[in-house]
Amino acid sequence: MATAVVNPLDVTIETPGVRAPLVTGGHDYAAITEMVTRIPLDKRTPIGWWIAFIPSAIIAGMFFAAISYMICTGVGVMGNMSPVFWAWPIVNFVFWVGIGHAGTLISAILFLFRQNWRTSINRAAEAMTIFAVMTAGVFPAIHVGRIWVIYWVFPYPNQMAMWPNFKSPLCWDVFAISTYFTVSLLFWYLGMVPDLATLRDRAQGKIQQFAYGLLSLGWTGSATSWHRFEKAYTILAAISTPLVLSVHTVVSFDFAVSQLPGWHTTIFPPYFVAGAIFGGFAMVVCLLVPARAFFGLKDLVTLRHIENMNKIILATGSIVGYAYGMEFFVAWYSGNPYEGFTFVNRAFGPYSWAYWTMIFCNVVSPQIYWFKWARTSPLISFIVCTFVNIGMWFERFVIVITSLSRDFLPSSWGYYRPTQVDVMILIGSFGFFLTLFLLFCRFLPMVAMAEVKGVLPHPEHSAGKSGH
Amino acid sequence: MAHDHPKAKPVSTDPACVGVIAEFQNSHDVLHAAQRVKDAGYTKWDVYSPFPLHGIDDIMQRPTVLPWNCAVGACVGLATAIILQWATNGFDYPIIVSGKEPFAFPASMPINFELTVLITAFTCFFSVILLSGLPRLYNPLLQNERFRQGVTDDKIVIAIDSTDAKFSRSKTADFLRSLHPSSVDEVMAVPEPTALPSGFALAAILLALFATVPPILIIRKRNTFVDVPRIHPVQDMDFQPKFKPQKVNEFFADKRTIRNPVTGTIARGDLETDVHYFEGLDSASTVAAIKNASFLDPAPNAAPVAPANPAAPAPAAPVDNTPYAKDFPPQVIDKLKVDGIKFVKRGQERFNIYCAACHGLEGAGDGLVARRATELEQPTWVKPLSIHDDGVVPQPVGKVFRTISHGIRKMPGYESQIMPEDRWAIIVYMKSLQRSRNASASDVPAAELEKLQATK
Ligand code: HEC
Repeated sequence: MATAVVNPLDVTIETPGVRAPLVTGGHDYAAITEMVTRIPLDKRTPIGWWIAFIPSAIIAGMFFAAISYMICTGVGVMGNMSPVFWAWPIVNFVFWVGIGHAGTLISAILFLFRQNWRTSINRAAEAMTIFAVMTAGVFPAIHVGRIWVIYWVFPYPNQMAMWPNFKSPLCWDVFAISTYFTVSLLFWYLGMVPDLATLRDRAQGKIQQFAYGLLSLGWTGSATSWHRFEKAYTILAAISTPLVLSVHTVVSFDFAVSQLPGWHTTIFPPYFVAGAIFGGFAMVVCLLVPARAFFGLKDLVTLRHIENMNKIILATGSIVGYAYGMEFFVAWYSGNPYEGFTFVNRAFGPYSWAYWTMIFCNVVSPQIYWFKWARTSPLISFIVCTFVNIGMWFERFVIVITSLSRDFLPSSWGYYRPTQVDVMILIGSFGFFLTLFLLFCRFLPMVAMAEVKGVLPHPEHSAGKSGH
Repeated sequence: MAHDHPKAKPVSTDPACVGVIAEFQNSHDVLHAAQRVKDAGYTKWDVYSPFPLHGIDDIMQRPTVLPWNCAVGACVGLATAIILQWATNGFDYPIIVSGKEPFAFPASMPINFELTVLITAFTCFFSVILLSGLPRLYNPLLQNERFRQGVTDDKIVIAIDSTDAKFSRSKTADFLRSLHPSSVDEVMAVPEPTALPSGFALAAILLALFATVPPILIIRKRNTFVDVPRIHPVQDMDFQPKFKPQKVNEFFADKRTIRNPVTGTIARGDLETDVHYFEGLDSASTVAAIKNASFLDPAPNAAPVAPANPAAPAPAAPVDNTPYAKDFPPQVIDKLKVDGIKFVKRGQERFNIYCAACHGLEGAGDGLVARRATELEQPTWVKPLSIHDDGVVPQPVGKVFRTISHGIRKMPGYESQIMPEDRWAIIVYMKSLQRSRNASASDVPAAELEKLQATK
């Protein structure tokens, strides 16, 4: 490395003593404003956006059509059947909630660790979190069967004198997910207010001015309000950090607190959280690699960003791989025949195809990130991250389905098969998620301009030098 | 800062000017300038920038209560969570799961944590908005083109408000010019537009009219009489496609939904043909007579309501033609011969189990249930009759047997709980109880009598 000529544009090269610039292209504040606001303020919607949006919206339509059909007909149209009553919707729910974790990790944990590179990607990642949690929230709501009484999950005084059972992990889950969604939304919106003000001040059309004016709440960027803003931002980051860890922990309690072999294990909370961050970062990469190219944000979301995320994916992917191994060890070491059977059955039973898909996607495929050329190639990143997304979905499938389909009594074993409606709902959920994300890209500031400007080298002493 | 207090009254000599702004190109110059503004003694001023300026807080020194608000929010959240869980699960309706405490602290931790975070986040969010003087829909500063174009993009602006005690339109502007900004502007008070956007009023009226429709519909529905069933959008399982006994069923030739048993079926009780032993009826009667009699039998529920005064004997059914068995069936007599006192003891044991709760151990009608019900003055309670009642003592054994089997008026039947033999054993014991109250010295064996007389 020492002999390598430092190319100022290649931000992925580590030179001791010099920090690579967070933003390439030597842009100043105005250029950043221009680069980011151009997208939402553009009067003409780019054709490419429509090409992505229309199919997404149609698939989202299918999502709701399938759900409506399911609600009108009954949960019987889904494949949930004895002994696997807790099938597809829960798999999807855990998958989507997990996706959300990367956004909060970037916006809160990396903020607390002063990882300034987060500023270019946190807005989009947080948006992804919110949309993923919205998508996730659909599943518990629809799988109850009688969705019109879903409000029973909330503690409100009623004529049935009935309260939720607060000792149930499912009740904790209701609280964890709704808190997570609310806090993420507040955090995201608060961080966006200064950028919405930028949009307000540059908007041309009446509707744009009105909408951004309303959303930006009259923000002017006075030092007094920045002072409060920064305090609030730090506090929100500080409470979001344990919150994001708690969410997937509570989700894992849904399983771990039960007594089913393969679920009843203390390794679940950390293992779920690592998996969630793993899958979430993979989704961020999958969304940002095309978005940065299409919307011309390559100088803000640089290769270094992609590489950093890939490193996190490699690290968390390895933790997940370790957890898979550890599960086997614990099953053997516990001496519990049911546990032992469950894990042998996972790897070699009727669902072994799902298990090995999971192993390949989650454990094997990210290993390519040990090589720098793979970490810094957008195409390879996109492919590997797609694998990781598939793998993380299969992880939840393996956990939920294998344990339920073969528990203690061989007489009640079964083989779960999803129905067409199940598959439509799964595919549809991607449409719903992408629709929301595309709307976000089109109408809201995709990059946190104020934050990026805050970490740019300040003009007066930074001529020629990089770093901050 | 004054911009954040919309209510502040301008005291400047020229009310049209609300302040002076100076624009700077970079943050380095601004920090110097800000220090000078502060040193000059201005208090109502602020620095506007597209991103938080490092070092400006040290100069401006405007502390905030925001973190304390959040701390209060956290406490409120935690308290809400604990009270909510304790009040619902521990106090109002304790649910015991796996034998654990209705309210246990460890199990309440997840929700304690979540609600603490939730309320803290809300407090934090609303604090930052309100403490920054937002939301603010109208701000004269934003009417200034230079301010609006620059401050959220790449320029930094120092603004001194006209409400400041030291403010003077020309002097303040000159002072700001001396700080080497790239420009200095006076911000004029543009009257806040009072006219609503066109179409707004119409839309508001339409919306208000529209909003009255649901309540009107509800009031109308509540006050009108409808004789068709309500709309039932969610049917749950109220209507199920299934056949009920008395309904027509086109599937069968005879159109009856309820089917006859398959030939050769032996239903429960079909083999119990001995009417004396199983029914307490006189076997001399013909089968037909029995069938009819059983219909005539004063059925437990069909009889007139029991008298309010339980001391009075239950009124006899108008005509009770039922051919009750007067004697014990031969099986019982055989059993008595073999078992002797053991059979009576068996009856005592069964009586104490099944009857004494209401009738009392001696059959006087003062069992624990009876006493407790009297104590609570239960209005629907009918006092169990004493078995020593004048109307009960002379009853034929068959009638008592039927009383036990099918119940009588308020008394439930025990056919399904007590085997026929035990029912007879109870009667044998009951008869001896009754006898004990109407016995003479000659009924007692001589040896026992002597003993009793000796204890006197
Ligand atoms: C749940 C309380 C209860 C229990 C247990 C109970 N009885 Fe009664 N019994 C009553 C009541 C009440 C009446 C008076 C009914 C009325 O007048 O409406 C009654 C009345 C009677 C009578 C008088 C019927 C008549 O012709 O007037 C007899 C005999 C009798 N019980 C026997 C028994 C025997 C034997 C048992 C045990 C197998 C028994 N009861 C258990 C509540 C009970």
